[in-house]
Amino acid sequence: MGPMAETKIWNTGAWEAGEESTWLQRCREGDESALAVMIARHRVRLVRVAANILRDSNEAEDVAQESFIRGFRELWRLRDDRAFSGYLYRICVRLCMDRLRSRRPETIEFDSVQPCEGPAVENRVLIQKLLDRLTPELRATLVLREMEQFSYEEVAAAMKVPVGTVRSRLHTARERFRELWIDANREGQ
Amino acid sequence: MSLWSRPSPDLSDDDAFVALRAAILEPEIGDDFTRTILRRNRLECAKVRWRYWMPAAVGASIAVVALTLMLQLLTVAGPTGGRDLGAAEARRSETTVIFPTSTMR
Repeated sequence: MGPMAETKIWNTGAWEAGEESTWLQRCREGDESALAVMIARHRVRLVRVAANILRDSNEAEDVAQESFIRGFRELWRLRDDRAFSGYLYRICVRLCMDRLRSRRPETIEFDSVQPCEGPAVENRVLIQKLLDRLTPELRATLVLREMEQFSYEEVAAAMKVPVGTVRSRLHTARERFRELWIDANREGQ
Repeated sequence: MSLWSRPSPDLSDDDAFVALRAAILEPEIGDDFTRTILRRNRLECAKVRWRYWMPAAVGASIAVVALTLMLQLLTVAGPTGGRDLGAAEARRSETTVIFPTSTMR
């Protein structure tokens, strides 16, 4: 996969080369309109990533906001402006994993879902219950790859681990998730 | 497309992963999302500025207090080493010889 393909997900907008760099330079100078442009460009994807890792939309919004603030605060550290997206997702994933680690293990019972809420809601609750049983590392890897369709390189950059580690974690996560899924279906029958 | 860019076909067809992908959340973003970030960013900038200038401000305050105290000490002590000459002079004038008056004659 070439460098252009690797960044296809993060660079979702149709910005020309160097345009992001110009906006980031303005952000460094404290221009709030440039900050607003950068937020508008990345917020939808960032909130969605956080929501799918945390399985909580409200918490995801907080995490995304925190990611932007930390990202802008430490912007001077960024040597290559083209890496801004990866840098932002790395902050976001790290914050999500910190929150997952600090969460108390909750017992979400599948039976607690009312049948009238429909199969889509039942499926979401079951998926949340299964994801809760994975470690934060496995969970984030699985979500980024399977739900968000990140490439291996993008997952590696977002989690700040080598690509080999991503492959290994993903293999473990898929196996574990499939086992949990089979067990849950067996119990449900 | 590279070998690694998509899950392998057996996993794609797996019910577990179909269900996982179907459970993706598409959260709606609040209206004040950007405003909140900008406001918090302004606060952060103010904090950073405060942290940057605080040591200088504290140092300058200490220097001003020290200078004031030093000037005060110099003014009070003067070149005589702290002796109150005025009081001494007054005492001496009280004990000096009385000038002859008409009653002494």
